[in-house]
Amino acid sequence: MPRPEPLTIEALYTPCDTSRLPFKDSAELEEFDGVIGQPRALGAIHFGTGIARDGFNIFAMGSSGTGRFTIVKRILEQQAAKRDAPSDWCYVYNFKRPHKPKALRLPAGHGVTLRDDMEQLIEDLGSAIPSAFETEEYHSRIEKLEQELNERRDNALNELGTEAGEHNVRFLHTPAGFAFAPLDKKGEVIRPESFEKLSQEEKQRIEKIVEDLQKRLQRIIRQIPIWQKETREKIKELDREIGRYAVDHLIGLIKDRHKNLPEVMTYLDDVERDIVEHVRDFRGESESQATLLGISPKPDALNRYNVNVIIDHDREQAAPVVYQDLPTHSNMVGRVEYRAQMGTLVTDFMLIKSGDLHQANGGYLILDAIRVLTQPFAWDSLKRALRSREIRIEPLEKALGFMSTVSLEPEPIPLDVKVVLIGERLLYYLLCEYDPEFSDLFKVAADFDERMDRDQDSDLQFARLVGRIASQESLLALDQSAVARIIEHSSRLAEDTEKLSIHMREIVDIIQEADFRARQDEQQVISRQHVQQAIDDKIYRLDRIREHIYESIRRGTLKIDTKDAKVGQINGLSVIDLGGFSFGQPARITATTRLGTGKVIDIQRETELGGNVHSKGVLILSNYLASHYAKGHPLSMSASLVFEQSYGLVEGDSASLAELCALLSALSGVAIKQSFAVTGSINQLGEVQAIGGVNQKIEGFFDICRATELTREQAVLIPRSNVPHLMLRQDVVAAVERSEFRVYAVDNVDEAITLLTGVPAGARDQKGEYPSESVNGRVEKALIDLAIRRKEYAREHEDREQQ
Amino acid sequence: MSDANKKTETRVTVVIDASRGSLDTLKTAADIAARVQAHLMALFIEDINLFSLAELPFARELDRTSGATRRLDRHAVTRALQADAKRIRQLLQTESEQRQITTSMKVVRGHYVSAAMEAAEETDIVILSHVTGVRLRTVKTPTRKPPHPAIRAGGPRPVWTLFDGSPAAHRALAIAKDFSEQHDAGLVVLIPNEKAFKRLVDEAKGLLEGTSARYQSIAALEPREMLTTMVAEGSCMVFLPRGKSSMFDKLPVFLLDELACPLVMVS
Repeated sequence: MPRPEPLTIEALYTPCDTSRLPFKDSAELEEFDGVIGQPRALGAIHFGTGIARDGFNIFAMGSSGTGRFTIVKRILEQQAAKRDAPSDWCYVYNFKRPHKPKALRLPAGHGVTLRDDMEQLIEDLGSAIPSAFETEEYHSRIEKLEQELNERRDNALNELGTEAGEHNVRFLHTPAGFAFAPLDKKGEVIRPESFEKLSQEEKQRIEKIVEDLQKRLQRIIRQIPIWQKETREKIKELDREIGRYAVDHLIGLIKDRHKNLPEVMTYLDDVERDIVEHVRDFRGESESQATLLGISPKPDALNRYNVNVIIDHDREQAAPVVYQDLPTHSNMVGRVEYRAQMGTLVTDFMLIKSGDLHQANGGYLILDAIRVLTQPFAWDSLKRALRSREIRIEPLEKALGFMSTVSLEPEPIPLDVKVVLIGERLLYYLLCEYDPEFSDLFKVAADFDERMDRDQDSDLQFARLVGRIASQESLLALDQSAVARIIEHSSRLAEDTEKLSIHMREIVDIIQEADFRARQDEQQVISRQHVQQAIDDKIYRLDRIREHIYESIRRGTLKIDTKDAKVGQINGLSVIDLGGFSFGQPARITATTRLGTGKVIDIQRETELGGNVHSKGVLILSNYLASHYAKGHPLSMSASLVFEQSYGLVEGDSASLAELCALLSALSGVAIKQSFAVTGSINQLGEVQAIGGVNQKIEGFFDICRATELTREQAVLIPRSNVPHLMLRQDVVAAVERSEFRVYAVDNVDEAITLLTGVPAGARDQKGEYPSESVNGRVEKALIDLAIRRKEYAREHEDREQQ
Repeated sequence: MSDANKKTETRVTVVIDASRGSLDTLKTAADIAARVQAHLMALFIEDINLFSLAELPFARELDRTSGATRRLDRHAVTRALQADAKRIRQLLQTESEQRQITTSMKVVRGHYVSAAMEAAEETDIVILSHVTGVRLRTVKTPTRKPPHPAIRAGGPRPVWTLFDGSPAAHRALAIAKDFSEQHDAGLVVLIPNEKAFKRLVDEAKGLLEGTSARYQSIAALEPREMLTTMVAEGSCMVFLPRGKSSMFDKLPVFLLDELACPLVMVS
């Protein structure tokens, strides 16, 4: 097996070919108007916005910073521009059931017109009605009605009075009422003693007369309220007649303006009827209301003729696109507000406030999925609205029974909206799994990719995108070299020389910082050095922990050897992620072996400091050992593996190659060169598989070596399948170019162990045996020896038991 | 309440009984007394007829509001009249404090009209209450006519006064003018002398000093004609000069039963 050669510098870094960028600076570029690298997501959004079926709402998923919101908003605005502005919506008083305000739909712009018309109507009626009631004709008709009542009453009383006089009886006022008293011959009320002297017949006659008069007066007194009521009714009817006369013309003008809107016409008919019925409200003759500190306990009666325009699309030409940053229950479905009045909370239909669903009705609503889910009842409210296709304003406090104040039940408004939720992928998968309604309501998944292919066309497209960002953000233009560096950095972010990261937030941040540096240098354009400085400065601001770790290694606190050779000890590589920055950290892995039953002990696992994937890697390597070296005998070895000086969780299988090599070294007794560091996972066949963070790992080991001493022997072994991912720092590439450092790519364990030990791994000959001096030969021999010793040990043990 | 029996002090007497117990009349009287800087006396008449009736075995009272009947006896009448008197006394006290006038109250058992006439002999201004609520009239009520064009529609009913040129008429006109201005009501001046109509109108105009009024001649001092005129247009207060003629004395007796407003007699 040929010994692998170190990778050339071309393999370590794929620079941007500036010949693909035919411009001096980005200002020359035609501004890029589209979206790059998201054909799948774009197709989904176009489909979702195009289809007018229930449940085809959109979930835009992907990492934050990939431009989901910007792209979604732009597409929705383009779609919205093709549609007409939707209807206006108003809430008006419900004259039959005041606690259920009525919703009125009007063409865009008509809501405000109706509101203004009604305000003007009430103002006009405020003078027209009193004028109508101040006419001489009205007063004379009222006088006539009152006179009829008085005459009716007076005639009845006069008749009774006359009859009483004829019977010589006087009508007297008592403190609480009336009485009839018989008179004597002098015209005075008869004295009791005189009455006693009268004959029995005369007494009875007088008593009978008085009794009759009393009964008749009683009937008249009881009849008077009935006559008064009749008169009041007549006056009321007269008021209606006059009111109708005053209202007819004015409301007729409004009806003419809205004659094509049947719902409005019905409402105006109701208004007309109500005004006529309550015409006294306009005359300032309503029941006097007690006031406290000038506050009336009852609202102004005329308020009920107001119009609450909750949605106004006046002068709008397109469908609405609404984004809600705080999607609470009430922000979405609207609310009924209250006014504190005389120690209590009151409300009316004018205090109904619209929500985002109202605002977006007939258009599009963009919501942040996690915010909707974390606001109490917001998710349920959104689903209910989408399911029922109507917006029902129900105060949360009422729904939960927190408030017993009289509230309103506004008429629900039909809902026609396309909702776009923006969220992480995990959220989408969780919702699909745990919310049965989700898949019915959000049928369109728009999956935003984080990476795009890197080729000639995409480089130029990317350059135009960079140009647009600079233009939109009012930044300096980027020269060709700066754009190239941005593309290279994007490729590094994508961890792939054949890909570009479209995590635009990161790109925009770098360009902005480079602009800042360029302006500090009083430059007119951003050049490569500014971009590089921005990248370096950003890392510097974040790498305090890296420095501390590397210092500990340099000072020997953390033990990492970068020269000499050791048996059963190897330099593994891990990646530490600090949010916006990650770096590689070498870790010493040691392995020990002894006679045993084939069990490889993962100390990280035993101490619960190893993750499941890491444990899986250890199990794979133990099976590799058994299948590779102990096919014909039991694996009579016990081994233990440990990440030395590791105090945190170790996860991932990228150290499984290093662990296997350490084990092989321990079994074979062949020392491993400590000038090497290894990363890569293995499968049961001994093949080396790709891992993540390859650039950071190489750079991490390089940094440690440079900090101690670059011996020209130091190198890093990586899986060959990771070679396309290499976008190493320039200082690492330069060191390789000077042969101070090397990077090897390996395909299998044998290649790796050969490089690490300098001893050939060895391949089985025709007899199926490894060369005795090869690493594999030594390992196999060691395992056979262990198997023999185990067998002997077992026999001795049996003998002792038999004795 | 305090007595002010100085002979030089102007005295206003308001005569009230069980059927004429309008508290508004009492307030009006207090207002007039305050304006003319007079002592106000409330003369409460306990109608002697009520006591006579209460002694009769079949005496019954019909409730003013419901028409229900109940037994009427002397104790009930006494208690009710005492309660009325107490109420009037309290109101008088309040008016005295609010308007800074001296007041007194006298309770007399007798007939309303004769007691009122008797009081008028000893006082400068007598205010007679009108009957409130249901009234049984002894004469037919004249048909009400539409208001005079000078009377504002929907406004207060006019104030009436009789002007015959006498010193009492001068004083009555002055008080009526004051009252009409205060209540924003029209003023109607009745002239009882056709021959001297123009002279009396000019004299009245001079006294009114620019205050507009309507002048109306009545053929003679015929109570029925006067009543017909006033009832037809309505009235909120009637001011009459009290003269030596017996005809003047007949007027209030007749008007009291028919008018729906207080009557003020000015000496």
